[in-house]
Amino acid sequence: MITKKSTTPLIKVAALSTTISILTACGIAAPKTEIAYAEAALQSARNADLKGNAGVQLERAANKLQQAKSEMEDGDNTKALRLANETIADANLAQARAQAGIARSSESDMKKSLEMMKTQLK
Amino acid sequence: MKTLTVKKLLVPAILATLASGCADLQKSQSLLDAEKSYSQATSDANVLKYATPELNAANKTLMSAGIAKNEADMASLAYIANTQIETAVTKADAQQAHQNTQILMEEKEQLIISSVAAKKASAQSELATMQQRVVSMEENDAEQEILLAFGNIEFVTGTADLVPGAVVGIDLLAEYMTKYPTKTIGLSGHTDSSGKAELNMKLSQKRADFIRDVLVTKGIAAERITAIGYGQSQPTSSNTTRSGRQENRRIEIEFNN
Repeated sequence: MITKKSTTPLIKVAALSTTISILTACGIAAPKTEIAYAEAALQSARNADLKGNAGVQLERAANKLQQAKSEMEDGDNTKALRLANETIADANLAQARAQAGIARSSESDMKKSLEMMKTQLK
Repeated sequence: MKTLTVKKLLVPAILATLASGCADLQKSQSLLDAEKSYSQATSDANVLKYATPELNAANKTLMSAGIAKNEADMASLAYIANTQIETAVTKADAQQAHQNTQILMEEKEQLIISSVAAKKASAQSELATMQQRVVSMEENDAEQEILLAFGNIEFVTGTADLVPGAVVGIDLLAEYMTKYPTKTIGLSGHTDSSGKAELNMKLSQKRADFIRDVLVTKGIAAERITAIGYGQSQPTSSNTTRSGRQENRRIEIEFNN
């Protein structure tokens, strides 16, 4: 028999379980911050890609960001969060690609310039 | 009757919840691939040197993927880890390219410095050659002027005394030797064949010595001047005519460096 005295602990246990479930991501809040951060990371990568070296990664990141927004609108925050985090990783890779492209281009230009100078000095 | 206490209910509830969240999940192929990529990246010296933060982030993601609650999370985290590793490798490549560019720039700068130095040295050498040429021309002109003046030098017959106005050549010679202090000269006295050869020898020596002594009084060191009398032994013209004999009575100068 469950008495009034014994229900209080049960309620407490239920509340605790819900909290733990939330914490273990059974249900999460809308990942607005993550999506905003992903958007900013993507924009930063776009700005860095002056020579078009990261087109594929930028497009992928943009698509994922769009999906993340859609999932959030549909209420699937877990999926939206995953996609937002993947967008951030894609945007970071795009930025690295963009910078690497510029760096390699500079190296190549410098090599050519040096060779030209060596030829002229011969 | 036993009553349910909070403690008795709480502990199993927490354990059950955590157990359901940490159920063993087989690692997906994408996670295994990501772990392999991570391992390869950590064995790359460039990646370790230039992209440690990115590698650390990838490692953290891989660990999260390893304890993911479900396949979707694991797949997503594996994807993110893989992308982070690729980012680390790409950043390392970029840094290496930067480093290479820096080395090439330094090589170019060195080349420019060497080239400028070589051109400067060449220009200086050319300038020195031209200056030397100008000096030589000046010397040559001065020597020609002196020789011309000495060609007209005249002594009172039978003596080592110069006729009045014949000092121009000696003055020019003194100026020349003052201007070029490393120059040495050889003076040689000559006579015509009039009179005794022995006397002519002495007379020619006396005349050469006379010019040397005048130069010494004008501040020229005696060791820079050699004076030798040859008498009538080295005529340049015939002694049978007056003009020939005049040409044979002469002081010759040899300029040495």
